[in-house]
Amino acid sequence: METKFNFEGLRIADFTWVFAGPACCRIFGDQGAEIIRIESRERPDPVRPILSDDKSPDSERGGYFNNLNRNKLHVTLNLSHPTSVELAKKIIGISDVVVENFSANVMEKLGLGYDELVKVKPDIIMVSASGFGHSGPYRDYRSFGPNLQAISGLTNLTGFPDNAPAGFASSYADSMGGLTAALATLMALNHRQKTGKGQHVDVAQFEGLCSLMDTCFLDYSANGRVHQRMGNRHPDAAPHGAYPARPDEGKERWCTIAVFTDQEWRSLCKVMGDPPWAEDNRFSTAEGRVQHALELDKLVAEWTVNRTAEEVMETLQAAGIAAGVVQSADDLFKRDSHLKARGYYQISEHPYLGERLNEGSPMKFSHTEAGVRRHAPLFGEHNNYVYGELLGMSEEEIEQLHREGVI
Amino acid sequence: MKGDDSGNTALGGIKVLDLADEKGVYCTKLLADMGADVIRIEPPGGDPMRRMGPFVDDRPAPERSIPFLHYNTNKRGITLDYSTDEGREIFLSLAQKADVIVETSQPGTMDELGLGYNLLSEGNPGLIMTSITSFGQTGPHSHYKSSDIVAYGMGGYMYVTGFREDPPVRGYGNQAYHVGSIYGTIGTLSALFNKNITGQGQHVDVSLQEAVLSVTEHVSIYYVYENHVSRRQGTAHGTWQLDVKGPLGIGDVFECKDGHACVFTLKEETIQWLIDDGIKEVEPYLAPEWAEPDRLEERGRIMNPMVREWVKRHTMDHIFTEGQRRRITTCPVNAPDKTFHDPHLRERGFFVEVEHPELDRTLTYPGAPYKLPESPWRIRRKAPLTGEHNSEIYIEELGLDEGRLGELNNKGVI
Repeated sequence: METKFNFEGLRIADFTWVFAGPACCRIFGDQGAEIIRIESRERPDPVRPILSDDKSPDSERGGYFNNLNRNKLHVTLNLSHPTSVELAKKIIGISDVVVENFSANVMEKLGLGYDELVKVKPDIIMVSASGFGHSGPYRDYRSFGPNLQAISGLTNLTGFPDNAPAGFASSYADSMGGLTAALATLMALNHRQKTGKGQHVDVAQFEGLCSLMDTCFLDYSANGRVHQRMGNRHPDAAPHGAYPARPDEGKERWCTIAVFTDQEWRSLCKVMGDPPWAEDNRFSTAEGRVQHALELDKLVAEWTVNRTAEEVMETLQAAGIAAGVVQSADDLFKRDSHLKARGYYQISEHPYLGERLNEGSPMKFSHTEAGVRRHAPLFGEHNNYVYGELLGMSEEEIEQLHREGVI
Repeated sequence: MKGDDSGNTALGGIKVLDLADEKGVYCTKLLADMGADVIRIEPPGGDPMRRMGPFVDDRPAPERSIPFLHYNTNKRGITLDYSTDEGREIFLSLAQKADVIVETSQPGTMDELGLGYNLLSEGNPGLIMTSITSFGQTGPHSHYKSSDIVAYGMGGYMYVTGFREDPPVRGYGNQAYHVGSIYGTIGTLSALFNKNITGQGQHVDVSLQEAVLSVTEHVSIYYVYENHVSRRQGTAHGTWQLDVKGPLGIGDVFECKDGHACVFTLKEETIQWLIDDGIKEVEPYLAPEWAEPDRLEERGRIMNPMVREWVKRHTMDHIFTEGQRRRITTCPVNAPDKTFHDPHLRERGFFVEVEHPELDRTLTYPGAPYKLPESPWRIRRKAPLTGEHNSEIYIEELGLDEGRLGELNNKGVI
């Protein structure tokens, strides 16, 4: 027996908002799980106005929301209304997983804490993905992606040593928090398939990031060494970095080069026309090249700057050297024939936004599909399906909930 | 069986063969740390990763490589050259019993060795083979050489990372490898979920370039919806495009007395804090008309330079604790030693101590990325020594005899 999707038949009650939580559920939706997004116009997802033409707090025309919430279903449910809790529990009762990324305690205050959920669904997997987690002294602290990047140490360690910390350009903590929550959900699902037991999973985005800090904590523990910003330097490779290429219509272009072995170095010298400076003894070993990387960078840049970024990449790759364009959005959408051949960006047609490209799935499966099938849902677009078809309510009952402001 | 100490683990009983290099070694760590029986297959003589520094006590030795120790917790280790005929036969018998194989070789390599997915899955249809490569299994760049920085640049994150006066910079700590490994793990576990229902395994193809691209947050969508090419803007958040909106209005990283701190400036609480600290000229901005959605950003733009000057008076710790007490989103820009001693991480038990009798040391490792009370993350064993589990796996589990093992050893197969 084969299925079209990995998660056919899996249902997730999605109470998440902003970025990390929706990014977690997106992973499952892309692979065919039924994601029921629960949200109200009274308390709309704060990202809705981003990249919209109406900038309204409850906008249905936001590009940010569309990209993050594709493939999902949507029901309206006003969680501040007293009747709503029972309805939420009914949705949870027919779900496998509940994902939420509120601050610690919010679900409990709503009457939707894990202890309540197991009463309606004994094997429910509840995934709480918050900034700092549900225990510890910072559990009630406020968080935002860049703050978590700062406190983890990633901001401090990213950038050049002679400039301020550069950090990451966006909410990397949320991107990785979403993926960490998806990992945790998958671990819990496998455990449930094996034992029949659900559980309450606590994901702290802070810890998710601290798990991605390479060797800095173990090196500190073992040797007392505190890692520092080192730009694009690599302890075992030189040249290693981003090198300027010929500007294109006044726009800066860059190309990365990474030379690890002597053979790669000799190939690079050959490609550059064996310039006399490459004969310098200081550059004849990897250690020497790393030690004199600054000088080497300047010399290599003199060669790259007169060529297009693509020319540098293609020439070096043909010679067996790792090199690639530092791609801008223009490059990614217009020039990268590889991404196009793999069909990375995928179209969906949104009723207000029209046909738009979406980020695709970086995972391809030999026997199942993963990717974008439909646009992000509109408010309450699936009320009839969920409340009617799945929960068996009559049209009158649904209409009444509507009138009472519950949905 | 010794490899199966499943107990209350999430992935106990799942057998994984780990052929991954740096690109995918974190994927198999994630699986091993949750209880999967991961067998790391090293070439005879040991994994090249064992030669990577830094080393414990700064003494280079194969069992002291910090990257090797960090990325191979909970794995068992054997040596095997599966490119030889005899090695290949052994690999095939391991693969018959495996649930998952994780590999990171250039596309086509496994097929050339006679170990491709199609062949291996013939006798083991439930097998999941996860290939984590820089550009994926198909497409014109699939054979390109790569490394973390190349994938980071091709994936679009590097172009927007750093200050405009500097070249683009890669994120600290091989993030392309980490993101690719995480997608590798998600792909593996997604396929495993499906296999548990259908019995059908799969080949999973993960591209580091696409993995990086999918975590950039703003790069693709600003292009799709505003035809805007995002550029480097330092620590200013990507959803606030400086080229479009001018100076930042929501918050940023600011220099303080003893380092840097991250402060969210868009709130009334921040204004009140400045007033309490004697900066009375910000008082007018507390007026209700400034809280209208269309004026909030403008207020942020006016406030930001004032906040920048004011933060200089204070320490990182003061900004963090006093800010959070006032319900403002603040954090210190920590150096890693500060994070290592962070009281929150300590109380949650994030860092764990592991005994290393062979090094006469106890080392502290970063711990669980998530807490699953019914099936917790745990370090059950430290990274293996070279060939540590050769006899356990070859003799006890595969049924080879001592003589045969010695023979394979002499031939350089194991």
